[in-house]
Amino acid sequence: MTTGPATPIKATPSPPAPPPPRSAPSGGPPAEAPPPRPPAWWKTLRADAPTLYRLAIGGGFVGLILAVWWLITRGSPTEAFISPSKLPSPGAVFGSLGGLLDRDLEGALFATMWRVVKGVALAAIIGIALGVSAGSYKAIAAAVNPIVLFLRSVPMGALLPLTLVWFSTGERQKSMFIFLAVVPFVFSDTAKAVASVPQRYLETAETLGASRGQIIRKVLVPLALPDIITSLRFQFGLALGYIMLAEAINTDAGIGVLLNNGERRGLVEHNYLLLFIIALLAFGIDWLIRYVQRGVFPYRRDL
Amino acid sequence: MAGTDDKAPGKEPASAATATEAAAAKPPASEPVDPAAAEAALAAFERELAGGDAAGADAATAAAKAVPADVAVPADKAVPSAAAKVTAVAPKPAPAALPPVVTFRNVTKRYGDFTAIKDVTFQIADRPGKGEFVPILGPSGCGKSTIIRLIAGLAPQFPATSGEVIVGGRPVLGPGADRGMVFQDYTSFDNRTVLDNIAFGLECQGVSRAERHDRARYWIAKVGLSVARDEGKYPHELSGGMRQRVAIARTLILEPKIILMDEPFGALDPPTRSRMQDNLVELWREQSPTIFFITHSIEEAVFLGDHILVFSNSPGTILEERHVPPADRPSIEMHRDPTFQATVHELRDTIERLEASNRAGD
Repeated sequence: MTTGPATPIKATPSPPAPPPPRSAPSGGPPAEAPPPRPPAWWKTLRADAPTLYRLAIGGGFVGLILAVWWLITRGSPTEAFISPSKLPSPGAVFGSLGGLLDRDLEGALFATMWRVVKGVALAAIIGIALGVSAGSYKAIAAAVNPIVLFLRSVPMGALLPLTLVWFSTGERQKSMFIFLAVVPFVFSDTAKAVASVPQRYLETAETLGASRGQIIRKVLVPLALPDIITSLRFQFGLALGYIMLAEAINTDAGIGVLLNNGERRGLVEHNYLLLFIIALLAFGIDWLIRYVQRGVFPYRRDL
Repeated sequence: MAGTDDKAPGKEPASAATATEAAAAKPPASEPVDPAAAEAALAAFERELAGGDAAGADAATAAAKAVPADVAVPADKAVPSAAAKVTAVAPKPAPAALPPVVTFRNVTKRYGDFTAIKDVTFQIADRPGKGEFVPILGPSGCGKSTIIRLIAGLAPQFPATSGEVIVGGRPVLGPGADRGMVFQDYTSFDNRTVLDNIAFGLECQGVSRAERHDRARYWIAKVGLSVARDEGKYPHELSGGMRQRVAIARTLILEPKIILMDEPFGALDPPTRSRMQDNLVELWREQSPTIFFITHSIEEAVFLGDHILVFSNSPGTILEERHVPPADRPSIEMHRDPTFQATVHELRDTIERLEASNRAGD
């Protein structure tokens, strides 16, 4: 679509060139008249890059950064441009995977993910139930909205000490912190998704004899569901960020603990490696949910 | 039906129904007589309305409560003789107690200062086994949608500011499956396949999965879709015409007595539209519901309709009620008929005149 409008722009100036050879007698073979060529994609505003180029450019750029990283960290600790205590070499970082596994990386990953899953699941149950009610009945929305607005505006870090007061330092505190951080957003996204199902669908359902409960169950919720899942997907990503914060305090296992200890014990390479692992994890989960979404909601091409 | 339940609201229009019914029954084919008789009936009905103001009507209703509905006709002394005369002409007096399918009595709808429709009065007789096809014609913004949304019971047009909308002898209280609606915009549920879209109403009634799917398949074929090819498709895989076929099947499967269509073919290309019209006429013949059909196209109205309501502009009022012969040939053939063309031109002139006077009035 983006190449479409661009083609005629380039094509307009070129016609003057081809006519002379074409006006020559049939002796002039078609080889002489080069067809006007569309401009290269990289010169065209907003044109899509061919997949191969896209991947090559992306990979090349990552390679460049790795090369720079390698250059500025090579040599002995005294020779290196940046001290390994600040930035270890790529080799040292990726080579420390063994050491990280010795510190129970899998256990930490599992503990962290479990906390996030519990918190987000609870937020999904309560947030979706409340959100559907508020999207369907505006009286409920009027009641809940002020509280949600408040919770959405409070910086989550500021809530952390209070969760310690309320839930002490155990597992419950971690999950509840995630729940509190996520539930206002799940609620308002759900309420919005339900409220934005076009009125026509409700009217159609009513004239087909659907009751209020049936409209909610058979029309509003199914049509809002793809957007609700999208909201959960985003919230899951944010929750991964919040959990690192919660795990910085009084925790015995988890990625946050590994990060803290890495800094304290001078194992900086573990911290760098953990960044990659967390990013990979977040990306993988996001991709997985989106993949499932596309399969389950084939009629939503925008997902 | 009217004889057995809820005599109070059913009784009053019953006499008028008698008249219209009789008028419709007396000359079965000869067109020119029919409108005249209907007019007489309507006049009788209007006189009845005018004769008894609110209090009088109430009194009449109260009196009627005491009288069983099957003797309602003789007991109805207050009714002017015109109606009685028409009734007397009728060959078979038995089904006379059928209330009109739809009655509008001095219906006005205002939104603040804006009056959408003003003092609209009409009635559509019940013709069991035949049904009536009622196109609603008129310039944009004349409250055509207001009329059918009032019948459907859909807010914000419903309820009316004043006047009465009576369906099957009872005032409309809200939407229901007895009055199916087909909208102009495509309203297939995106998350449901064609089959489950059509089965939606039955699903709401609690019909078992196997049965509702069987019946939905019957309707898929009925509206000209292919069961094998289309039943598993989602709305986004269908063309506009196919979506409207789904919408029509979804409504007809519930066998509503009244079908309300708000410019259902307005967004379709002409050939598709013509095919859909033919299909609709066929379906109407088989199921014989009363169809209200909003359209901008005079040809469409004249082709499909037998009782056309022509509305004037803001505020919407009925300018003309016209009976035309119902569609008896495919759309394309009918369009070549000179009488058909004459009717179309006449109606066009009427509306043209109306719009011109409105523009001048601005």
